[in-house]
Amino acid sequence: MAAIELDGVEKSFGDVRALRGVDLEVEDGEIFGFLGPNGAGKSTTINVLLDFVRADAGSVRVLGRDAREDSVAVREQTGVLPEGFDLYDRLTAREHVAFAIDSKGADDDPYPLLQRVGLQDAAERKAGGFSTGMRQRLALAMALVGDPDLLILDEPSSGLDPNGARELREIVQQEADDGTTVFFSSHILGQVEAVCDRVGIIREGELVAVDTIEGLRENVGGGSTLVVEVDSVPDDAEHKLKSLDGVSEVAVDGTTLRITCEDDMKMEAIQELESQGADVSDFSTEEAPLEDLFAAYTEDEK
Amino acid sequence: MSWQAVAEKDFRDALRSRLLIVLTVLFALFSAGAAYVVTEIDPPQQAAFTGEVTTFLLIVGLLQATAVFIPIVAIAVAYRSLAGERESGSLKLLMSLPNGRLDVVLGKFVGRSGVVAVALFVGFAVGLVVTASLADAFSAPEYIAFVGVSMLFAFVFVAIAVGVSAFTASTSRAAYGSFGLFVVFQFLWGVLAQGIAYAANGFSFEGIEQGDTIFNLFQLIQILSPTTAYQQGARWVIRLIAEEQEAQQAAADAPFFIQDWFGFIVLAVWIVVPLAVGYARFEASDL
Repeated sequence: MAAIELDGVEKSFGDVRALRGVDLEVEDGEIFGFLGPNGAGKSTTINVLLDFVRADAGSVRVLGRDAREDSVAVREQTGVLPEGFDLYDRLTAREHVAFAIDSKGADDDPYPLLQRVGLQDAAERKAGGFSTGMRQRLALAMALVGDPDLLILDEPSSGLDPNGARELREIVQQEADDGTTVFFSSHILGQVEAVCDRVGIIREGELVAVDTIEGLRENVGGGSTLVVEVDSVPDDAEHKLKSLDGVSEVAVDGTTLRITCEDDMKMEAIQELESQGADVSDFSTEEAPLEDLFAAYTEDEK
Repeated sequence: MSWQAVAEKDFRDALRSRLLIVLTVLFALFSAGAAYVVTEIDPPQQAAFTGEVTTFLLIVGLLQATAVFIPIVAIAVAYRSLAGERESGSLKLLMSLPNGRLDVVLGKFVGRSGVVAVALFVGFAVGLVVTASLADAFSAPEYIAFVGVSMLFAFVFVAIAVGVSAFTASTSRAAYGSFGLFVVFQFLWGVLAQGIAYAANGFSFEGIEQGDTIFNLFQLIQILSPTTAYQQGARWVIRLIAEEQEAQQAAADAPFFIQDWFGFIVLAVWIVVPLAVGYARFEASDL
């Protein structure tokens, strides 16, 4: 069973077409990163999953149920960290979690959940005085109530310091290890790379790619750079290397060569250098920066 | 159904607002002050007639004032209930949990009603002390019945304010809407009823007599205002308790809507209709 199934989903706000026929399937138990620049339709997609917003066309199923008709049942099994939310300033952290427990009809104890997100010392403090990071942690604790089958996290890292972001990744990983499906959005590929099984990239209301990070790299092509250290660079090396099929770029910097090429050309490039009399002392591969990969999908005409 | 969870959360939250403390204090001062004014300074005419300020007469005097003050308290407590959460974004948190939209509207109504009940309870308790010490013949059951009907009246305006708040996404529009309705009920309804009777009678007041169709229409429209319904309902209950003769007099052969109990039907309708309209719109809208 797919945890999330979108089929031809369209949604307009006035003249703005926020979603233009989105098809997406998120498998049960996977960690799915949902990427796109701000305003691409990430939040609208999530809002459709939660029935905050109703699609104009297409079908939306979450955990095998209709997202519109069975929304309460969907949300009973789902933990959500919404984007742009606010807390109840006059209620304490513990009262927030207790409210989530009551709403879900769960029998959790608020304290261990607060401990899990690192708010155990703030349990009796009112949320009005919380920092952005603490607010994010508290909402995450509320999302974890009732051991959900699906976690939907909308820009979860916003407001978290690097340490908080790492803890968040750990929690996501633990939940996934328990069999929870995790769907989370971000506008920064680097944040999702470490934990995601697959990513989907949305751009101007259309899904432009759904793949693993490796798959995306292969698709974009010319993704990796071979860095070779030699004793001395043969005179003709740059020209000769460029003439090889599959090598797109060669840059020489002192005794270091940076060769942008397809993966299966790396050995050949090194052999070519050696045949020219260069002594290769070291070599490594650099992958294309994730930002470049992301940009390739969201900016260029792919 | 999770409306209880929403109501409990809302009650805890709103109970801690400073506004509530201010309103409670104001209401306590008001109910003590009004009791004092009615007994000592400006007693009802009948009291001058009989020379005795009974609880019944006192309450009839108080009714004029509570009919204005209670709606203001109720609206102030409830007008932000949904629009405010929508504006701040806490509604996202609320709706991320398995709360249906009906649960949210009902939970808000119950939660805010509880808050208003606390404010009125404290205020009326203070009023009770003043009344008991000033009225010549104090009757606790009558006063308690008065408090009960007043609570019901407060819930009507909580329902109106929650309904309007569910209807719109902006707190300022929610405020204009709720207070606007209050002004209509309180100050314009009588004029409206007269206008309709005037129009129905061929644009004249001539020839309208008590008991004829147009006069009945006029009375029906009048009692459809929650404010009138409250005053009528309160008088009816208290008379029943006090067993005054008028209670029997009002009955007889008058049409059903002139019957004093009809006020309670009107109040019940004014709780259900605003909530239903607000919910219908809330249910259909994108958050």
